Amino acid sequence: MAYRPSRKRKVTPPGAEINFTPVMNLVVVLIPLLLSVAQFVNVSLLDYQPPPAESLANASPDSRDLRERLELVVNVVSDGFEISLFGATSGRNFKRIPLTRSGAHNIDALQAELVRIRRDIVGSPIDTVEEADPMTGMPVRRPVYRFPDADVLNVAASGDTPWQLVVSVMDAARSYTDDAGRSHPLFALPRLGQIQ
Amino acid sequence: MAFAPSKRRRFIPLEPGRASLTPMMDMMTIILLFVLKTYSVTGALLTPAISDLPVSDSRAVPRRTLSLVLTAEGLFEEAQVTSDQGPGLGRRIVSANEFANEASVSLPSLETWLADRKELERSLGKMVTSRELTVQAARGVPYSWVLKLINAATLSNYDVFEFVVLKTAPAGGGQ
Repeated sequence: MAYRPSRKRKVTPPGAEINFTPVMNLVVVLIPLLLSVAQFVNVSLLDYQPPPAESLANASPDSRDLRERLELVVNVVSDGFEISLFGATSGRNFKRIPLTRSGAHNIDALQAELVRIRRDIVGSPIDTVEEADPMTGMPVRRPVYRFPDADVLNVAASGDTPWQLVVSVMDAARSYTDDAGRSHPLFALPRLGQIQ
Repeated sequence: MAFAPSKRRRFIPLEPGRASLTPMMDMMTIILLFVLKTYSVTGALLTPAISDLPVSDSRAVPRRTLSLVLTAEGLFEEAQVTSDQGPGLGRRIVSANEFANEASVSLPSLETWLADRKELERSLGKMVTSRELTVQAARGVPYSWVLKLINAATLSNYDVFEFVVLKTAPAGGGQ
């Protein structure tokens, strides 16, 4: 009678395991690192470039842009905003936006008025022109509007105005989102000044 | 006669119990991918030195340039380590009194500091070409202080300013 085969042969050899230890070391270091920096990524930047020192008056007559200027100014005053176009101090090109009932400056109404100015007065570009980007030097195509200062917003506020309010005004003037959720530029070049 | 039961198995040494790392690996991998996808490493280059930065919906990516901190106590260097002035604040460059002085629109202390800084970088063999200045201005500082800072830095050939702000949540939610 034949002997039953030994069961020892059926013992499967232990399988080769992947060594996770180096991967684990890497992951254990990376996760705390990324989690520790995560609290700082809520930071962003607000770019501001002051106008060049050469004023329009000093420019040669040939280099002056003779188109009519928009001269959009937002005055941040204690009782609200004053929005002026074409240098007006009264009339239809001058508008006051009072404070809200809670006594805060009405940023939403300011943006609505800036959107109206952009749509109704500035309008669509009349041409495009290729220029060198002042920061990178790379050529970029820039839209041309009927006003040479169509992207400029002059912000004037008294010296004791909190910085947050000026930042909010620049935010309101940068862009807006239409009903379809698309973002459109408004007046993305702020010029900061002070009311004396 | 019945055979005696084998005693062989009694001598098989039991394998020591091993902690299974697989679920932990799964969890770590998921968290790592989530964190990598959600957060930009670029943001880590800039650390807020003060907690009361203004809030903005700007989405510009932070960059590391020469960084200053403007608070109600004055203008400070940004410190990489905690100093006696508080976390994130280094040496005071301009005092609050100098900012509050309405008789002057310039900040000689800042202009001197910027000139010294350029000279130091030149002496270290660095190319001093940057015109950018990162400013962490507290939300409550008077606007005239910011304008003074801009004016003084422009006189020292720094004419690109990057004001650090805290992002507001987008209208659609998310980060």
